[in-house]
Amino acid sequence: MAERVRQPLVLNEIAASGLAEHAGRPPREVDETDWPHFRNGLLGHRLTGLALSAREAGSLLLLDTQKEELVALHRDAMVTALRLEGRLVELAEAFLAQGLDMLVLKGPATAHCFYSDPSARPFSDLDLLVRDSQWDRACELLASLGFERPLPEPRPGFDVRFGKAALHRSGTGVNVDLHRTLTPGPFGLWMDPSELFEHTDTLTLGGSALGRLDDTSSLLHACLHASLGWRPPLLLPLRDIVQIARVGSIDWDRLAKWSRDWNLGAVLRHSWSTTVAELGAAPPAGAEHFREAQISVQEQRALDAYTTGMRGRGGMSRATVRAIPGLSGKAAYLSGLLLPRREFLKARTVEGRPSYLRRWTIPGGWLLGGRKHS
Amino acid sequence: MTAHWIRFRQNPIVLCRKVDDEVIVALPYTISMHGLEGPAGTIWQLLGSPVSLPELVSSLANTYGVDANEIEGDVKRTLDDLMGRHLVEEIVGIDG
Repeated sequence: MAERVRQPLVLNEIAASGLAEHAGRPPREVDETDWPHFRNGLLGHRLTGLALSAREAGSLLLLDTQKEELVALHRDAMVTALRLEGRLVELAEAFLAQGLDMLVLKGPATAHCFYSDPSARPFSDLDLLVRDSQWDRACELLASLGFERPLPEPRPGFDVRFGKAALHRSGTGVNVDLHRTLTPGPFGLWMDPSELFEHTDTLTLGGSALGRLDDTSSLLHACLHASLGWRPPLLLPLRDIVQIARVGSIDWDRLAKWSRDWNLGAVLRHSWSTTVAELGAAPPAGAEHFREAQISVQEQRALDAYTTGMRGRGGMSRATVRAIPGLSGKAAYLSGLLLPRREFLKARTVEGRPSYLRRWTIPGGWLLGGRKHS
Repeated sequence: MTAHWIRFRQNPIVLCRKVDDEVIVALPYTISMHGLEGPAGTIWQLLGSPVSLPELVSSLANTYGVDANEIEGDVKRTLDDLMGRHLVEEIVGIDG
């Protein structure tokens, strides 16, 4: 007999559907009055594919109207995924022709390499990693292919020195997030992204062999994205962690080394704890190390900047300043934030004239907000 | 004496996704997509590995519980349509 449970809980169960530890659980159904929230939750957490899989497996019971709506939503998501994959094949060819190293991150790589059916794993943009030394050429290439940056670089050299990625948008609405590291802020700065290019694998797509992070690096990225990408974490990135850890061939020793060398212990512990709590997924033996790891004050403080209310009050920027070595580096970062080029200021201004004064009041707001909440 | 055989398979460059009973397929470098539903979707799945026309007809006849002779023409037309869209390719081999 089907059980009705709280709507958020059903979302978590959808994200965990198909995992062996949940086999035999009674099927769930969603009350008609809860359906709009549930449907929006599926969309927000990108779970339409897993929901359809759960329905096929009999663990989610839907009314015909609910099923039709879900199929239509997922169809849209898959059309988007196919459109992006078609563009990805073209882009990979263009990068190769220019002699630029490029690795596919997340979306298509995760869907094809770690899910039994890529249809279960939607994505809405392309994330590509390039080397610092090739960053400018990669941006130029995208511009030559008709992509524009909605948000320009704050100051020349800022991206390569302090940035994580820059969004590039085509005229047809294809978004490419060009990365130079895997995550923003202190954790992205502490990493050495060039090392990721020494551990790669292949994604075969559209008859082409595209570079991607290897399984261990993919797991690292999934953990970073799940814990640091959103607050609170989205459910699909948590499921990605489980998929990659179980399907991939993980070098746990290398992951532990990177965790130590790049100060990522707090993030890895957080991502595993969250995955276990939200999905009820048993962690693989290799992950136990991270769940029990001792965390430095520095790492914990940096993590708090992403995962607590500090995030909305400039926490990440302040954590980034702390992570940048040397006074000149800190000054360069702050001047990029406080004295950006006019083009950047204009792009960041929602209404009215671009104004440095308005921008300078933001940190003041953080401080006042911080006091209110402290 | 050698004999030629002809089989058909999905064009390896085709991108595809399955949504409920529909298979959506697309070719890189184009913006067009095709939705394959019902028997066309089943034909597409069967073309996941190389298959001859008689094998294809036989499998479909079994799946849908119909006489092979009744559907052979429709299967051939569907196959021609998929080949015309470059979604399916023909492989010719020689036995022996």
